[in-house]
Amino acid sequence: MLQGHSKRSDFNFIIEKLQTRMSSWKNRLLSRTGRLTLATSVLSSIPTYYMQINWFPQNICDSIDQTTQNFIWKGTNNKGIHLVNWKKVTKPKHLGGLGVCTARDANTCLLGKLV
Amino acid sequence: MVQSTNKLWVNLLSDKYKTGKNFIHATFNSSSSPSWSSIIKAKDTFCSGYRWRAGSGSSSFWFHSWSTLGFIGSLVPVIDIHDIHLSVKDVFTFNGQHTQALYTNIPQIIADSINNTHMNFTEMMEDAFIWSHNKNGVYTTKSGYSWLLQNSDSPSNTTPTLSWSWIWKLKVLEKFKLLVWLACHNVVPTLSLFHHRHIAPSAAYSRCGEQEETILHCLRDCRFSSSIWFNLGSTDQTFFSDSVVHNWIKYNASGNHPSTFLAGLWWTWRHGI
Repeated sequence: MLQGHSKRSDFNFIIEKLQTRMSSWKNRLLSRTGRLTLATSVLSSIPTYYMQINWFPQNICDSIDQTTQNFIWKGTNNKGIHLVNWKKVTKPKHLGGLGVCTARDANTCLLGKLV
Repeated sequence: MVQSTNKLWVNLLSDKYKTGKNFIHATFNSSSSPSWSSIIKAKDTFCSGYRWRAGSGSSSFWFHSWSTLGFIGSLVPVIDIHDIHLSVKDVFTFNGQHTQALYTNIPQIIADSINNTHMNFTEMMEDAFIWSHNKNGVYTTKSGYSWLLQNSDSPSNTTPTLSWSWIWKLKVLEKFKLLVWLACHNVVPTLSLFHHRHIAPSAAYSRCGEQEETILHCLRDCRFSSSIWFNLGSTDQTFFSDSVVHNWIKYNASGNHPSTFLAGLWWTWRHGI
């Protein structure tokens, strides 16, 4: 239950959730393809429940995106470079992206169910 | 809230914030609850995706935002007392010019746009706002998301210059597809790319030491790579002549042996590092 303005500190636990989930994959040797699949299926669905009732502050959306991005390109050991920019990655597959959802858009369209 | 008006939570919220039937114009302020301000923010985004569907036509002509103009009532200086109870259907069933039968003075531009509107009334249904990007008019998260994507892109981006779906339809391992995807974006991590991004000091290919390590050189034209392709049976000159990566891969991947070609591509690439 939130009171007053929604602040960044109210949503920090979501970032922590993402990080604990990612650290549990640390020991597996994942290829980039495997990480991509995990990012689209698992990481992006962790905040879904909270997204259905709350409009996330922009900086939380940015850090969710940042975490997903780093996971896809760098994995958990923080080595690697971002080969394709995030705007292209988040396009749907038939437009040349990888079909990854941005947190802002996912949040907006889940809230759209209440409109 | 627009589509199921008889639910408890909808009634609760609309009574608390006194929106009545005009939810589409509702606002929030600093004392509103987080949930309400969230809903309003989403509403502002999706507002233009909804449109009014005529049902029985019993909504008020003046006080419902049934047209794209907003409230008609707020656009005229004063509403004549004879007209105040008119519904949308009453106005649109007048013969001839709809607005001429009204006692109220309506500005010419608005009158024109009303007269040019056509309505089909059906007694069976209620007037309602429907989501115009789904066949049955009900909002779904999926249609909402694709609508958001369409809106955020500039028109030039929505019509793709290249076709991409063929990559994901290939029946090969996912890692091959990702390599093809990278190659089509021209960002396979070759020395030429690293050099371009100021990471590597030189772009010369370390295996033959002769030429710049571009994708095509590394995967096809270098003598090590081309010997692999010869052994795989691609001997004709056209195989080595295409200079656009996208076309080259697409042409060969839609040929007779797509899996051989893509596996060849992947292993040449792994081998080249």
